[in-house]
Amino acid sequence: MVIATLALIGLIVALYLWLWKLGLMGPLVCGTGECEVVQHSPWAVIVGLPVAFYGVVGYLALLVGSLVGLQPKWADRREPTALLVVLSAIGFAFTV
Amino acid sequence: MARAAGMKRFYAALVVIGAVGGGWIWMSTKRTGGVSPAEPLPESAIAAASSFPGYVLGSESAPVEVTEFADFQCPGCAQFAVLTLYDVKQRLISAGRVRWRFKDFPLDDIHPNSRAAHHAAACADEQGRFWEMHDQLFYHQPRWSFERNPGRRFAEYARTIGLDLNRFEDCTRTGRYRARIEASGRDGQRLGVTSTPRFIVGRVRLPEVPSYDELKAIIDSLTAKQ
Repeated sequence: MVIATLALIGLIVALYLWLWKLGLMGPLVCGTGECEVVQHSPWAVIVGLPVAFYGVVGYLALLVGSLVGLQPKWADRREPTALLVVLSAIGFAFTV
Repeated sequence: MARAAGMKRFYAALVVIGAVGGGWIWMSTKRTGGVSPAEPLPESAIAAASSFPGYVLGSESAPVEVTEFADFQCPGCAQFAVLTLYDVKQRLISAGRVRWRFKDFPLDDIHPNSRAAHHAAACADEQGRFWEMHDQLFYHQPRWSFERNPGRRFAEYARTIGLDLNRFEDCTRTGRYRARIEASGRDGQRLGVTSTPRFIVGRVRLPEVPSYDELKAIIDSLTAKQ
């Protein structure tokens, strides 16, 4: 449940940043400032796609995986947990 | 039973978080720029900025001066900048025959992003890169003209031309050249400018947008009289 909740929050933030990058949002609002500098840096785009897009895909996969794992018929199976571990590892490696 | 109730509460919490997040994103799509460049300015600030002479390219000793009143979102201005001004720079300005003066004339009623573009150019001028930003804005005009938040494009151009991005962002956010842009626009109105681009060559206001050859012929005739 905790993973699903955090994944949903992450998904919302990543979606916000992705839509901003697509020019669909107003000015970027963030608590620390300098967000536009980060969003305009060369590292904000990888293989032609905004980094925030990868975030949307990753957090969506984490959300779906964690919700599936909560279903009774999947409760005793290891696949959802394994998926979450793999996705988390990929996400962590991406961040590094 | 307790687990089922717990799951219901959990799903309800997810729905609430999703709704709040979705609402936040929805509201963000409706928000426009932080400092609206079109907000009213005190008359005293505009009067104080009226001494700004515009952006000048070319030698102070050039025999002829051309003043251009332009709007960065005006397609005709972009066409002139891309097709004609390049030749003017290469053949007349660089040769010391003409001094070019660019004056802001944003047409807010038909070009909602224009004033922000003029402000971005003024902020580039703060770092000595007005003409580089001028070229970026005109060459890429279709990309930013109808964006909800053109500032992200302007920041990209600022990075492309090598501006200090933090300083540029601070300048655009605070809108510190708004009075200067407004004063320049009023200057144009006083001189009878009603559309863009409009040119004043020496003391003559041209009725049409000139081609390079037409402009050169006028400059040649003015130079010959001197």
